[in-house]
Amino acid sequence: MKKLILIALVAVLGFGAVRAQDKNADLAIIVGKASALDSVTTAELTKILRAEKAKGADGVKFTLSMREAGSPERAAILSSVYSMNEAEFAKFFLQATFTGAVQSAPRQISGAAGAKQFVSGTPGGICYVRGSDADDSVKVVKVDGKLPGEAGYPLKIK
Amino acid sequence: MKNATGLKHELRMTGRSGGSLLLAAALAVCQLAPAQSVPPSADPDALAKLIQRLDAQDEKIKSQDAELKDLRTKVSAAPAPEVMPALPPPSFPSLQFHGFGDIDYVAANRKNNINAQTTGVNYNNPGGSAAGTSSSFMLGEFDLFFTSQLAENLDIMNEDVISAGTDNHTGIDIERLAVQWRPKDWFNVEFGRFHTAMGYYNTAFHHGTWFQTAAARPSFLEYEDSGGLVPVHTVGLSIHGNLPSGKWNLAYFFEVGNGRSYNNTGSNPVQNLIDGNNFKSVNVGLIAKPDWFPGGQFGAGLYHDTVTPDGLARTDELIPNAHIIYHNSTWELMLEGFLIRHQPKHEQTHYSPMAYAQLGRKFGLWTPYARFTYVNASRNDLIYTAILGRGGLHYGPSIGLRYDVSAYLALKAQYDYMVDTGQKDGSALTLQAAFTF
Repeated sequence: MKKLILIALVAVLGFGAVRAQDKNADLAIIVGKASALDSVTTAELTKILRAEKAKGADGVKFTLSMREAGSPERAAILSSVYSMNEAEFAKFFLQATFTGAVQSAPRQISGAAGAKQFVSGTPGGICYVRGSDADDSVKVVKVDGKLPGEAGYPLKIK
Repeated sequence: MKNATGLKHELRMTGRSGGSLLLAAALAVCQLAPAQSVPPSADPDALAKLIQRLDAQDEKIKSQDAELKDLRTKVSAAPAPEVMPALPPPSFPSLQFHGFGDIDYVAANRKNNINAQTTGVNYNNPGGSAAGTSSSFMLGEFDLFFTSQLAENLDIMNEDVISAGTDNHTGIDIERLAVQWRPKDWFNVEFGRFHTAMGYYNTAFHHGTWFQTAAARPSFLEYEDSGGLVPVHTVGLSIHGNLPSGKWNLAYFFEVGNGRSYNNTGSNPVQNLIDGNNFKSVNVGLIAKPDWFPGGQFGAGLYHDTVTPDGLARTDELIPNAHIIYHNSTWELMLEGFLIRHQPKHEQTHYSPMAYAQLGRKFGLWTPYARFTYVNASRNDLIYTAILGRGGLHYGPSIGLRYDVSAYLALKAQYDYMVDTGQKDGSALTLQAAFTF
């Protein structure tokens, strides 16, 4: 009986650890708490971050941002959403500005704290942090119906 | 009165907690104890040991107090936790500047068409009589691009190009200047001089050759003053936006402008200041970027104008066009077709089809590419023969290689082979350094 209890305990603790690890490896899309954006599909997220969809359902214009160069979060968003490397990303927004498709390139934000501060203080601000860095100061957007840490969440930090 | 056990207990507690108050009490008790409370039967040796231990504890506590004081000093002296400064709100106007340019070398077995804007050999040097040599180093276009956001939904965009003309003197042209108002995803307004939204190439690539994989634009999409056949610029009003269309991701555009003038007087074909007639060009179209075709885009449009070419009958100009594009980080495939229909009043209708296909693939910093261009400008169309000198069949392949030296500089080598009505087949090699800054 003791053995069984021990196994169950280890299983529960182990599962919790795995969940925590998953959340840490997931990339959370964050917006301000007042944002109307609750849930997006991967395709919608791609359109928003590529500036192909400029405004949310509430009519507020998205203000795009990118994490600091070299951060794992930026690398994750470039590969999983933009499907571009750094040079292609820079060229993409330069060309989008040049053709008039966008007004400016995304703002550069440093660190998870900066990202949270940016979205909570900027109407329409959207950024991303490691799942474990998301807290009550921001709203975490569901992607394909899932939150970071849930099985099948599509945005991963490698 | 405390007995020895109680005293030891307190001493133990004092040792554990390090509480100075308790220690003081214990010390007081100890100091008083021999005189007042220790029973006569108490062992003097034990008391001595006890006092010794108390002294040791006292020393230890003094040391800990000193450490605590030191720590408190350090903590109070340490800088306050970093507080992120509030992000400044966007301020207007917010000016951005980018520059583009290219420098070229062209060697050809025909004389260079000096009307071309350095972007390779333009296809049909009429009669071979124009000035120019068969090889030249060329200063390309020096392109200054400004954009400034004036308010959340309002901005201006300006592109000025400095380039050399046929007399080798440099001049400046305002290529684009427009006010853009973007109140909704589905409703954006642009007012000024801009590129017509005809096809893909003309909207994706403007004067900065650095953006485009190839060294040159497809010949019929060259700028109007460089021999291009399609009206790529206009001065007027554009309304465009995204349509609610689910996975189809449709976008529309509707443009009204002065259109293009056809003249042989040397005046600018883009009617910047004065429209030569009261007819306005209208350009409409739809573009789809469906979810099921990631990286892909296709679209179709229709351009209409009534033009009054110098010395010719008023002509109805209609240009249906379509394109299909696939572009990702590795591949680039572009297919576009235009059909220019000219209907002079009370005269025969002329049709001039033109198309190109381009394929490129990235291998790291290298991008080999190939393009085939086809133009059949009606030889019965006086606009092409009498005014532009561009009538007839022109086709040929181009192959090239682009090498991205850095994120801001690309070297390109392009070979063009050209077959033209009434001329010997020609070929040309273009070397280009294209950059942005």
